Amino acid sequence: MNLTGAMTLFKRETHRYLKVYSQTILTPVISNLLFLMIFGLSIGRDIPGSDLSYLQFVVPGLVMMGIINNAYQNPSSSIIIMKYQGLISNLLTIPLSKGEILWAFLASAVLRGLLVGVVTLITALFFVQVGFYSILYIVLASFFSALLFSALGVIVGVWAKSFDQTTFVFSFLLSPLIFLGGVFYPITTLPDLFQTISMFNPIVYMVDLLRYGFTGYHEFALLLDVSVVLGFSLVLTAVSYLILRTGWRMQT
Amino acid sequence: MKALEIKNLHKVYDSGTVALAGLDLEIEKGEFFALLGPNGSGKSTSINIVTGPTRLSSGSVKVFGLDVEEHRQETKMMIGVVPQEISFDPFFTVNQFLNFQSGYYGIKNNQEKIDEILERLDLKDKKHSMTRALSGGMKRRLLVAQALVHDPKILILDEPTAGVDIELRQNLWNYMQDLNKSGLTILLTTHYLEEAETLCDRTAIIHKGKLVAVDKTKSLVKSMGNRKVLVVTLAKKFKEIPKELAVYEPFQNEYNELHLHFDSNEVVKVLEALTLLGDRVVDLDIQGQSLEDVFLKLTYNAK
Repeated sequence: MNLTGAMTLFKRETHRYLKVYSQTILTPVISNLLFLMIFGLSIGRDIPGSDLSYLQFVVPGLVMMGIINNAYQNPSSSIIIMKYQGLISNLLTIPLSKGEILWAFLASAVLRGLLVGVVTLITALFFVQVGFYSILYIVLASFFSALLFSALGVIVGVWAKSFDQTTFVFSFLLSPLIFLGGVFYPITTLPDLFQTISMFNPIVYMVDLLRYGFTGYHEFALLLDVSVVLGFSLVLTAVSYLILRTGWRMQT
Repeated sequence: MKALEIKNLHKVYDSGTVALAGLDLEIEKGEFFALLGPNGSGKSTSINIVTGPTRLSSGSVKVFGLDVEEHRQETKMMIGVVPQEISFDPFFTVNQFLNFQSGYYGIKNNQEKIDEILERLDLKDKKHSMTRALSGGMKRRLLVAQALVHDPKILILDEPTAGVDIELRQNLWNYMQDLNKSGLTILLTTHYLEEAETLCDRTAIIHKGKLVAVDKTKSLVKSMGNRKVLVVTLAKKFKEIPKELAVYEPFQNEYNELHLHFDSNEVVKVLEALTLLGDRVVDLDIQGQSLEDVFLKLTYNAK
């Protein structure tokens, strides 16, 4: 075990985005605030079947959106930049096992996701009253969702041969799933067909779980929410480990 | 125990390209060893297998007695490598970059060593510059620094002198020779026979993924004979090259250059022959034979 080595790679990965914090931490917060203003001001009504205002409803969704976007983007762009800069061979030359490399990538990406989540939450607190119904569920939902999308970021980063491909996954897969994932509206208010389609979107359950953590309001069984979040994050983490181990698209 | 022991190493890439076809190589502890070969001979592939980025297809590689497949992390700890391609972490300063590199090898506080290396490589004033702001030659030296921060037991230099000017090259070689004297084993791959001649105790030549020759560098150069080329720039091209020059395998190119080939002990004779050319001679240059000539000869003999 090379703890110092793994810790150093974690620091390197973290340093990389903290150095450009206005781009990596503040920009997502600004865009989330814009969402808050646009939707909060235009849709003032309360959420049916709850005593939540729309803003109170949407804040946990925005926090989750920040977590997902940033957890995904960190490893995917870091790995693709390494490919462009020819740094992969150094990554494969330093005395770190694949597990240690993966840990460093995931830890720094989870941290970035959570940082953006926390900063989004703090800024939202200036405009909305947000409760903390269950800290346990807030931590559970945010941590494992961040882990899930960090692992996805690693997988896509390793797979992709260009920036275009990582942004393709982001724009054509991730963004639609997030926007249709119950961030902005309760799934149960949708027409039946769209409700059914939404059931296949894992992000729905992550948002639901985090929203429960903050407000106590949820649309699906908590057990289902927890199973989806844990299940997907563990599976994707395992997959990301396996592809690193085989050296796919990294080792020749 | 050998510093490096490569046995029957094969590498076939996914594309089907055979890069190594049963390479055998042994490097003693404390040697300054040269690995020569033309492009595509398998030099970089063998190095990448020793250091990590490439996986072997079959055969075995041992670094100070440890198999690289079974003891990946331990062997990586012992190796320092200066890669052929210049590539850096673009986000950091020289000092941050070298501290990260030390950290990867498990070293927490390495400032003293880093400063010593920067001093030795003339990079001291660039300590706080961003890596991407360095000139080509400086980047190359930073790669050398990167390979040394963790005090490796074997240093691998993969064609490290491209883009480094002559004075700095000399400085670099002096440094390498000092490190070698203090016990560091060095493996150098190069295109330049001269580099191998001045620096290395022993030289191996590989061609098409196989060892063609390995010997003391001096004996190897000697056994190849010492052919030179006299390049004569002419005021006017010959329509017909004088018959007297035929023994020197003459050849004219489109730049009005006449190439004459000779053994180095015939230098006076070939210069005398130039009197035949009279006023036509504008300039003279004597060049060593290229590595390609050597390979041609060796691989021809090997058949």
